[in-house]
Amino acid sequence: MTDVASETPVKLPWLDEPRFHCFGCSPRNKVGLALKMIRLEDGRLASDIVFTEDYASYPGVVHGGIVSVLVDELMGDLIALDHGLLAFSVTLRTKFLEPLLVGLPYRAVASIVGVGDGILRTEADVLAADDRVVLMSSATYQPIRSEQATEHMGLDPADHARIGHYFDHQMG
Amino acid sequence: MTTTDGSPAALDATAVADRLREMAAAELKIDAADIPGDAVLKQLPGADSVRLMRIVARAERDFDLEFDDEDIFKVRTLDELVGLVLGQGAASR
Repeated sequence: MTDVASETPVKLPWLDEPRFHCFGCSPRNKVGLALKMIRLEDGRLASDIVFTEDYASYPGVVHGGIVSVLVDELMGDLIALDHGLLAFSVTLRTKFLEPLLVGLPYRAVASIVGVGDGILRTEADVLAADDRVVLMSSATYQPIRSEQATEHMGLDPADHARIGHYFDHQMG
Repeated sequence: MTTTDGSPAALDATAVADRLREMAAAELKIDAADIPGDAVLKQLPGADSVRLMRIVARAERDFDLEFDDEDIFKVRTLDELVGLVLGQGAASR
């Protein structure tokens, strides 16, 4: 695992939004993952997690869809933190190299590998405690435009006043 | 993988083979010189299905390609993996 001294906890600035119940990162979502983020010294974003039986598929094995949430959330949050914009996942491609097991510690690590043509390209790996890579994922994200935010999220003018900056990116 | 004018760069077979050999050697923790082109990957020391899939996944990232799963599971040797990269790279240009 990475040297703890070179890691910085990250407070996600949108967690206090009253309508925010993200399955991946909101502590208010009682069935969600409530992921906590860590900034690594090299700029990547990481999250440590031990999955419980609540997220199992086969007995003792973490559901692949839930692991996909982990990496999708991490990559999306990294974009929001580093580029100040919210984005929808367009493509999420994941190679499940080994099954993740309930009760064991894992670390997911994400980086942004490209920006252009209206999309952002990202990568994320999930590592076991011995740094063995058990999952590799790559994804593309499209920034959410202001009108999309209004249509899909039902934002009112007060919401826009608070979080409109996430959609004023002139991308996509 | 692009050139300075933005067009995709042609993949050089020797360079691809060398890069894939390095990836395989690093994953299997063996010497790259011990991986001839016709070596059956799953018979290399330390090889198993998970490690071979890691090599393929790293190749996809490194060359910015996406292989079809059916093609991945057909690959037996390093030369065949090189062929997969070159074929996919040509198709994406």
